[in-house]
Amino acid sequence: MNKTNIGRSMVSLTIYVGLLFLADTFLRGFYLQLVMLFGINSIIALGVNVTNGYTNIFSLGFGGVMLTAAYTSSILTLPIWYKEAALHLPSWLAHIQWPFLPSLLVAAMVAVMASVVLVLPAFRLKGHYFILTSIGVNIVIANLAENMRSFTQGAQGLRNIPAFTNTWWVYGILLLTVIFVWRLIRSKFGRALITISKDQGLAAVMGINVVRYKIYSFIIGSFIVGIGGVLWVHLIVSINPQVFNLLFVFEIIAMLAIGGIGTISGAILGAGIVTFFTELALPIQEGFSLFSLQVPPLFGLVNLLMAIILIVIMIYRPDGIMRGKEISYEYISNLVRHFPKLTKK
Amino acid sequence: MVLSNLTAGYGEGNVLHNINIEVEEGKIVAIVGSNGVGKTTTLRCIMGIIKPKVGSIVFNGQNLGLLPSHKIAIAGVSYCPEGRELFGNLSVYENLRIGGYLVKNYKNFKSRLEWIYELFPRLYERKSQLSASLSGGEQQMLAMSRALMPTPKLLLLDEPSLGLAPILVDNIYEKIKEINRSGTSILLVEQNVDLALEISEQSYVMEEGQIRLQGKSKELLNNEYIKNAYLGVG
Amino acid sequence: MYIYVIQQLINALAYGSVLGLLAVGYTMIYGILGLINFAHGEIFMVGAFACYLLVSALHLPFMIGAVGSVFASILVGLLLYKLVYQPCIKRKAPVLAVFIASFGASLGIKYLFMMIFGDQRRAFPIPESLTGVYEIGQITVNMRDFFMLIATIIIMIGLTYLIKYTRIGVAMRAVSYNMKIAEVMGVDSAKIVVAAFIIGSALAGVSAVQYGLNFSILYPNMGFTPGLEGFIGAVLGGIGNVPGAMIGGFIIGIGEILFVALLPPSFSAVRPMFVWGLLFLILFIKPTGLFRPNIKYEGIWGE
Repeated sequence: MNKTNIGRSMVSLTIYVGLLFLADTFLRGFYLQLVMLFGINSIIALGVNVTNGYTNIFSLGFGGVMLTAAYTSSILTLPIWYKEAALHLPSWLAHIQWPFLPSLLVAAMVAVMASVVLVLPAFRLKGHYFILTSIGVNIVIANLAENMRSFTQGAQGLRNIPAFTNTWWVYGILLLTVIFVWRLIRSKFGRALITISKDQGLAAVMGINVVRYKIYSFIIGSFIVGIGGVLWVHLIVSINPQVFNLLFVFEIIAMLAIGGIGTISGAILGAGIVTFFTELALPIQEGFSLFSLQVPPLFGLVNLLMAIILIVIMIYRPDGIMRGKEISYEYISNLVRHFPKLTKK
Repeated sequence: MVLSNLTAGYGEGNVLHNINIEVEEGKIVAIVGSNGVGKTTTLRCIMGIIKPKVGSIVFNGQNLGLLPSHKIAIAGVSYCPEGRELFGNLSVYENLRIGGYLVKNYKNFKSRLEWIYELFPRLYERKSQLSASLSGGEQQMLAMSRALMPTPKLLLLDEPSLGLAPILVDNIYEKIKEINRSGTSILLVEQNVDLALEISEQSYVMEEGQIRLQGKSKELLNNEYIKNAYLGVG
Repeated sequence: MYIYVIQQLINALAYGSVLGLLAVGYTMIYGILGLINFAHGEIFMVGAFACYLLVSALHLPFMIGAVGSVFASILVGLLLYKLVYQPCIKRKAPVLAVFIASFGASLGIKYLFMMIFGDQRRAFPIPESLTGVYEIGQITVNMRDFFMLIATIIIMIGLTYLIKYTRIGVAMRAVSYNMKIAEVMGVDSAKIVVAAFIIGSALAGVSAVQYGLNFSILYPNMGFTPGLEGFIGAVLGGIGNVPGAMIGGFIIGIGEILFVALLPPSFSAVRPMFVWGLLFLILFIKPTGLFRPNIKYEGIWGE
């Protein structure tokens, strides 16, 4: 890192922290939650990107992994009075109430264990069979959550989860995640992953233990995604078995697909587009009046539009917006330089 | 059929450069050359599996380069691919049935089928067997028969001797002569230069995607360059 | 005890054939194009709604409703092909992109219908003529189940005949094995693909009527579970293998109903686990499914 880079990083970091300060001070309620949701979705997208993007293991099971982490953290941090009233936990669980950080880490690790146990056996399946199994993992874990009523209160779900999540946690973790993934990709490990994603046979011939690296990539992805799940649940302060169902999984995939799978900028960009579009467009569904026309409530419109946008992008620009490139100073200056040309037409 | 100035390839690069080949009606024409020079690519191009980047393929007044594969088949060209490429999940009879997909009415289909079974009695014996379970020689017979079902005007044969024992190869080549006698023009691609030059009237020698030599096969048999480079080796 | 089991088995046949028909639809499209049509469950749902609209809203006779279901399904299937899949093929989109687009199409159709119809459950119209029951000894068979079963058997026989003996059936099998060479033989593969979509979607339409008659409800999200389970059935039977898919679908359907019937009621919430557990088990033992898959090349994209 030379002097210009350090300088740039310092400036960026200051701007970053400054923005967080502003957000924390001035935003309230809906908008604050929206900003945090964007951050969380970015983290999740980055985590999924490690497995699905960099290593090209198309797994849809991360919903179940997140659910595991979320429930674990909930159980660890719920107030004791609630646990005694609603659940039937073994005494070592029922009488504790943990603070945020240890709960976060333990939950993420539990999630990793679950993902390894459930998805690992499926690794020897090819392509579509593997995807199908990963969908099944989601459904099975959700079903487990529904049935282990003494731990989870079944389909009703849990409430009164401590609201630990705030902008600092979210964006602090996001920053750490970005740095981590950034360095990971540039390391020998990361390059091995990319080789695997391009051609498994080639990777094996080059001496890379494909199965082991896939497992590692999976573990890392699950860990990050698990953290995202915990942050999510402490923001929404309630949970039920369906919060990370196939629809949610699809939204995350949409983020990656739109932003461009396989890049950090793509993941975050996609997360931003989908999160802001979905949440901000939601009011339209309630119905509104345009000039003198009364448009009736149309629930499902936003999802429908999202789906159409996704299909169109997949047809015309399957690499997503970023097309495998990252946003950097060079990228932005290039864009600015070419902008007059683009608008000349 | 006339190939003019044909340039084609897979993806970015080109395998064929400016190929000119002519096949007169009723004749057998051979393309010879060593592995990977572009012989199979030429046939694939004619058949529409890959599209020419430059040049034309004129057959009976039509430019085949513009047509999709199935329309080329309708125009009267048939292809027996290298390595046979049978439909392994179908039986011998069913493979022939696909071969005869374009045959219009049932009577024609039956009579073509009988002609094939006469030509290759072994196929009749094995007609209900899965094509994937046939021996090498039988597969070659099936692949050729499949290509012959629609009574093609032009048959493209790709390496018919590949992987076959010499006695089978002689057998196959006898049949090829018979097929030609019944009126089908043949464009033959063959690594075995001996066989190719003996059976054909006109030959083209291909190297690195270009025609190096061409002429009457009988004359080429005595050509010094050919003798040194190919004969005795092929 | 045996009577109970047989009775449950008879009831289960209905769901078995729903899934079997869906499984065949999945497997045909996968066999020829190498892609999983995630929206197949929604084609099914649209068929059900078409029948509902024709009968309950427009008061047309049930037969028209049933035929309408088939037509609507075919229409949606063709639209899906033209608007989503064909552009992807033309542009040689990567497998993942098609996959995501397919997923998107599924959700899009679902939410479109949710938007128009709302997500409450509606009653599927059951015609007067089919409300009776047959009694064979101590076993009751619903008339509607009986007729749908007959219909499914006829369709199965017809389909098997089509696939095995007709020109277009052999062409379909050839195209699923090697599209390029089939084209060389004169087969217009685009037409074959369309044919596969039409047949697969039509089967989904029939399946929808069957589902409606058996479960008496319809709602926009109804295609999710049967669709997924139908797909599992297709995988079970060896993807691309039409008779295998039919059998696979039946196994899942019958197995699921029997599972719920034979276990104490407290287990009923675990129902999805049976299906997935079965899938995991089978894929673990035999990763390509019970029967022989019918594809050499993975559609046109390669693996």
